[in-house]
Formats: sequence, structure tokens, C-alpha cells
Amino acid sequence: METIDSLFQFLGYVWNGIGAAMWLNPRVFEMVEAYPRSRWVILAIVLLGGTSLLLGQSVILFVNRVRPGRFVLSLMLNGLIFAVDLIIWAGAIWGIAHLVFDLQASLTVIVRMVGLGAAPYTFGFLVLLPYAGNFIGRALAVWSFLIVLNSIAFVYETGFWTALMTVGTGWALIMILSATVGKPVVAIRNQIWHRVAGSQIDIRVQDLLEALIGEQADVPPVRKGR
Amino acid sequence: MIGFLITGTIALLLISALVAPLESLGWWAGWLGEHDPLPIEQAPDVTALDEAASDANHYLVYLSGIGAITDESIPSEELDWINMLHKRIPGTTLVADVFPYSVTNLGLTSNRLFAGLWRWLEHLRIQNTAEILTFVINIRNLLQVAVSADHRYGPIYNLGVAREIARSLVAHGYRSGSGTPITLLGWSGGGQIALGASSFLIGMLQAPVRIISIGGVMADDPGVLRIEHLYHFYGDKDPVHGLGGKLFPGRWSLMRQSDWNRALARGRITFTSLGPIAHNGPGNYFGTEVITEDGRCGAEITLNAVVNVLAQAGLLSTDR
Repeated sequence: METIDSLFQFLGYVWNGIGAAMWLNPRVFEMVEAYPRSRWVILAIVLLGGTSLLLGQSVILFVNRVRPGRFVLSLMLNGLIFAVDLIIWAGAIWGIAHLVFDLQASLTVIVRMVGLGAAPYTFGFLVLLPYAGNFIGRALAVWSFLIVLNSIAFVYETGFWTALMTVGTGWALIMILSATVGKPVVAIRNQIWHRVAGSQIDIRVQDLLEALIGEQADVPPVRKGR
Repeated sequence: MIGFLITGTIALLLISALVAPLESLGWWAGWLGEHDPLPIEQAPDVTALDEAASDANHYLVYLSGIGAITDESIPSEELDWINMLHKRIPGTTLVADVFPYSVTNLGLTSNRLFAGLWRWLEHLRIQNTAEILTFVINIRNLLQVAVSADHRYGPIYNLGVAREIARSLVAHGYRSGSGTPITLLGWSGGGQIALGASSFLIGMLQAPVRIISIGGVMADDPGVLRIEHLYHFYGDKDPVHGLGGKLFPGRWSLMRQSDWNRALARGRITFTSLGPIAHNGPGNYFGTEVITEDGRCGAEITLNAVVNVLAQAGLLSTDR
């Protein structure tokens, strides 16, 4: 009974954390900074966010004909990969802040703050909505970025532009590393993906369209009239 | 109580919208039955031939609006109108057995999880009671139109519908590769489904395809550049048909390079007003109430417009 109560209490913290982060409530930044144990709540938010986001973007799994069992595994795996991606991003932000702007903070605090940015993605399943889903996906991404931006500005007690430079440069650094020295890491990640999904996951809807009707959509039909 | 009802309705709408793409995605992924080969590898059976109908020099496929429950269970005024159309298009084989709101041509009352619900709603519609409840049918099908118009799901959904159209055409005697012209006549949501399916249909049957939209709500679909022509008929009292131009960015005039605007610039889309016709209710496209000073009704005006377009395109000749 006590375990169930604890579970509900924990879920309550997760729910409140998501709400407070999405409202950009400074109180949540204070709590996350002050209480290291908040990491479990944040980890739950990140795993939920990653899973929910892939559910919203699951067209990629369907298009690649992933089987139901592997579909569920893929969603869970995405939660983990999402968590690792955020930790790497947090590391990049921490490094840039330290080396470029001479700003000091604990790396674990930055990891927790960046993790809060996953809060909007817990609604990532809404990306599944026909037509409106595309817009919702973009809105969630902007929202997530704003949370990270505000949390970084809060921790380093810095202004908007410095926070933007720190977060933005950190993101750009990851992009550059992924395309250069980080390629083997990306390859391993993709390999794990393919193993779990049981498919190469390399067919896009656009590929389908091009394969089925040809790239030259404006080429006149084969026969004109009789 | 009212708050509970509103919350419940919104929740149901949200869940309905979230699951709307799953039928077509599940079909593609092979979740709805055996893990079959890719649907693209299973070409429709183009050898079946109905010799009785194979002398047609034109095929017209009717795709119903969002009020359809199955290919046969559609609003009665639409049925009457189709019968009138049939008498006015000599030399044309009319195909009206495609349910455009399912990738497998499976009507809502067929072998489905909620078939009982749809049968009950169908019964209510026949009894002409609880109109608000039958609106659920429209919402369900409207969400499928959104799936067709969505660039992520559309190719899969439209491929499925195109296969069913092709299958039905062949069953009515169409010969793949014969070049016999095909016209897709889509009413309301059927306009988008027709446009979405057209690209695939052209490839499957090697056929020239035209589209006639009656009050259709259409997105910027690549099919618009592949078809012979899109004729869009609309009523001056129909605010619904204009939604396509507002909701889909590819149709905004500032998106000059979109498929829609390129087709428009090439003169492949014709907009024609039918006069004081509404989308739904009295005075609609299939209505029999007199709406013009010279004593014509919506059904007659729409019928004449469709027949005239087909005649002008030389598709009503009985000569082969």
C-alpha cells in the first residue's frame, strides 16, 4: 500500500513538474537547482517525453512496417536515446558556458535544467493528429527551447542574449560533432535502433511518394485522351 | 453536468483525431491481418474484365461526401442525384461502389470494432431523427479527409483508396493501359480524396484522369499537376468549399511554387460558380428546392454543370 502511495506521490511530482516547467515557473527552476533528488522526477519527464514524441512521430515506424511488439520497444528506446541526447546537449552547454563565457555551475544542475526542457514533449503524442500535428510538433519544439533558455538564464543568472548564445552554440556544437568525430557514436546509436525496430527505419514518406508516382510530379500523364 | 459533457466531447474528439491515421498506417504496416507483402507489390487484379461494360469510352467514379457510411449508404438526395446523372452520361460507365473514407473500401457498418455504433447511427439517419448524433459520421469521415491531406499520412491513405478505385474500375470493365479517360467526381471531402488518389491511379492504370469537385475542400496535393484538369464547382452560399484555400498553406497565393499554384498558373484548374447554392441543408448541390428565379434547383444546376464539362471534354460520345 505504501509503495502505491509513493508511486502516486511520485507521479504527482512528475505531473506538477511538467506543468510548472511549461508555465516557465521560476519556482520550479529554484527547486530543481536546490534539490538533487529532483533528478528522478526529471528523468521520468525525459523518458515520457521521448516516448510520447516518437508516438507522435510514429508514422516513420509504420512506414517502415515495424511489428507491434518492436513498435512498443522502439518507443521505449526513444525515451532512453532522448535522455542521452539531452545529457550530451547539457554537457555542451556547460562546456560553452564555462570556457567561452566564464560562467560557473554544476554540470548535474545543468543536466537537470536541460531535462526540464523535455516537459512539452510529454504531449508529443499530439503530433499524431492529422494535419494539426505538424504545427503542434513545431510549437512543442519552440516551447522546449524556451524552457531550456529560461532555466539556463536562471542558473547562470545571466541575460537573455548570453543564455541564447550558450544554448544555441551548445546545440550547434553537437551538430558539428555528430557530423565529424561523433559519427561512430551516431552509427552505434543507429545500429541499436535498427536492432530494436527490426527494420532499417530508413524509408521516409517522401521516398514512398517518389517511388510510387515518380519524382517528376509535373510530367504529363502517359496518355492524353484516346 | 454541462461541463462534464463538454469535457467528454472534447476528449472523444481528441481521441478520434489521434486514432484517425491508424487505419491507413496499420494497413500499410500489415497490422490489420497477415504481415503481407508491401501493398504496392500487390497490384490490383487488372485481368478481371466485365465484358458487358468494356465498350465504355469513359469511366466516371463518384466519391461521396463525408456523410457516407458505406459505398451504398449515403444521403438519399445524393443517391437520387447519382441516378439522374447516370441517365445523362451516355457512353460512360458510372462507378459508385467505392467508399472513399477507408483504405480498404470497408464501409463503417462492415467488419469493424464499432460497426454496431455506425449501424445505429445509420438507423437514426434513415429514421431522420437525432440529426446531431448522425453528425458523428461526418466528423469521422472529415478526419479521414485530414489524413488524406496530411503530407505525412496522405501518400499511404491515398494509395490505399487509389487501389480500391482501380480495383472497382477493373471490375466494371476498365482495361489497364487502354488510355480510356477516367473522371473522378468528388463531392465535398470526396474532392480531396479524388485529388489525393489521382497520382497513384494514373500510375496504376496508365490512364488520363480528370477531377470534378463539387464544393470540394482540397489541399495542395501533387496530384493536381498530374491530372488532365481539375474542375471545381462551388455555390455562392457555400462557405465550406473555401476552407481549402484558407486551411492549406500550399493554396495561399504567396506560396507561388506550391503544386496547387503551379497548376493554377498553367490553367489546369477551373473554378466555376453555380449560383446561390449552399453546402448543406436546403438549397444544396443536390437539393430539389427551387433556388433561382427561373425555377431551377441545386440538383439540376449541378447536374447540368457536370454534364456540360464532360460534353465539352468530348467524353460523352458513344462512339469508340
